Amino acid sequence: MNGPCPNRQDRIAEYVLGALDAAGAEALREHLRECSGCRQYLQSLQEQSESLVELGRQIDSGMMARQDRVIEALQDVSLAEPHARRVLPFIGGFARMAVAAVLLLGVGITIGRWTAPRPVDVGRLRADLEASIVAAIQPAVQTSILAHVDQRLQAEAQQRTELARRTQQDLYMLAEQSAAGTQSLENLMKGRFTDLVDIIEAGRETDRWRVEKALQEMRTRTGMGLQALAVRASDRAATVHD
Amino acid sequence: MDERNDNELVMASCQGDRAAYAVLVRRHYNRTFLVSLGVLGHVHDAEDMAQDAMIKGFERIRQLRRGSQFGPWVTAIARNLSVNQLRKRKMTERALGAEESLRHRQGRPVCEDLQQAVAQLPWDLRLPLVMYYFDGQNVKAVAEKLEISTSGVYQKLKTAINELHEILTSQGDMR
Repeated sequence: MNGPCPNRQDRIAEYVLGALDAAGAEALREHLRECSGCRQYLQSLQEQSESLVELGRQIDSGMMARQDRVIEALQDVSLAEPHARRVLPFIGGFARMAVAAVLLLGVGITIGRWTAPRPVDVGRLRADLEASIVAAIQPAVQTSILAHVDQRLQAEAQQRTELARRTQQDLYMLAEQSAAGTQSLENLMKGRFTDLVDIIEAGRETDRWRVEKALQEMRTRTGMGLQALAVRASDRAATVHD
Repeated sequence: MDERNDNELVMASCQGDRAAYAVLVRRHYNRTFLVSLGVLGHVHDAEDMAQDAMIKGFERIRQLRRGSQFGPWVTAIARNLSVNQLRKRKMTERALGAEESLRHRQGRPVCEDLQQAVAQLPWDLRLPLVMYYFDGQNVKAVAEKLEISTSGVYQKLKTAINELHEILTSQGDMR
């Protein structure tokens, strides 16, 4: 027996299925008149199709008995409770597990964020440390200023004592030189008063300079403290981020 | 004959009315069975799967939102169960090994009839074949159920009947 033409097998199957249009069916019939191999193949497929339909009928003949067995088996089955309804009925088993995993992950991240230590507020930390350092430095600076002021007062007292001593000496000289005439006495007195005014002015200037120096020192110490604080705060922030 | 529609029967079944569910079984069992047969290829396996699908359908009937969809719903259950069963069978065959599998095949009466030849087809070819020839559905209906084009159905049917012919003729040569 010759086999069918290889390029005609599909056409013959389509013919059996009724899938060819009129022109295609006519062209195939013309070929079949000349080709015994294809004719035999067509006959074989047609018999096979008839056999399939017959097999379907045979299978169908046992359907009633099968249905009876199912209905009998149902007597021992009870309904599932309504709460057995799926939470996500529109997705399959694996996808449902994946969704559940994603939800669990999300819950875990949320809880982790809630329980994790809050990030350091660098600005607030810096302000707190600045206030504490100023509070620590301020008494020392004040003590320093007071010491300078005391020192200045002592120096001024010494100057006054010295001025009083020189004035007394001048009065003695005045008494001795009374004969020397009123003019020289007036000149001497003017000179002493001028010296006195200069000493007082110099004392004031010195006092102002020391106060300014003390304040400058306070600012310098406070600035250094804040700078050191800023460095420590930056280090602390870097450690927390790591 | 019960005149109630599927939706009414499903509503009654939700209340545990087995008689109502029995009517649904009578209406939809055949297609459920043939889908299982199309996937598995063996009548006895298909009977088991179709019965399991019908029983699961009754157990879960309260999960069905639209009673009018009972037929497609229970058929889908049968198809899923059958595909799982087919996977298990293939895993078992792999576990037995090629040699044992060959010996097993040779030890039984190989493909003595068309039914066994149908069982040897790949299930993606067998399913449209069974729906077309055994269930009497036309190509358009098969295409809608399988969600493929009509030309795709023709292609599968054409391949199936060509392969079926080859299986049957090779058996003839072996004998």
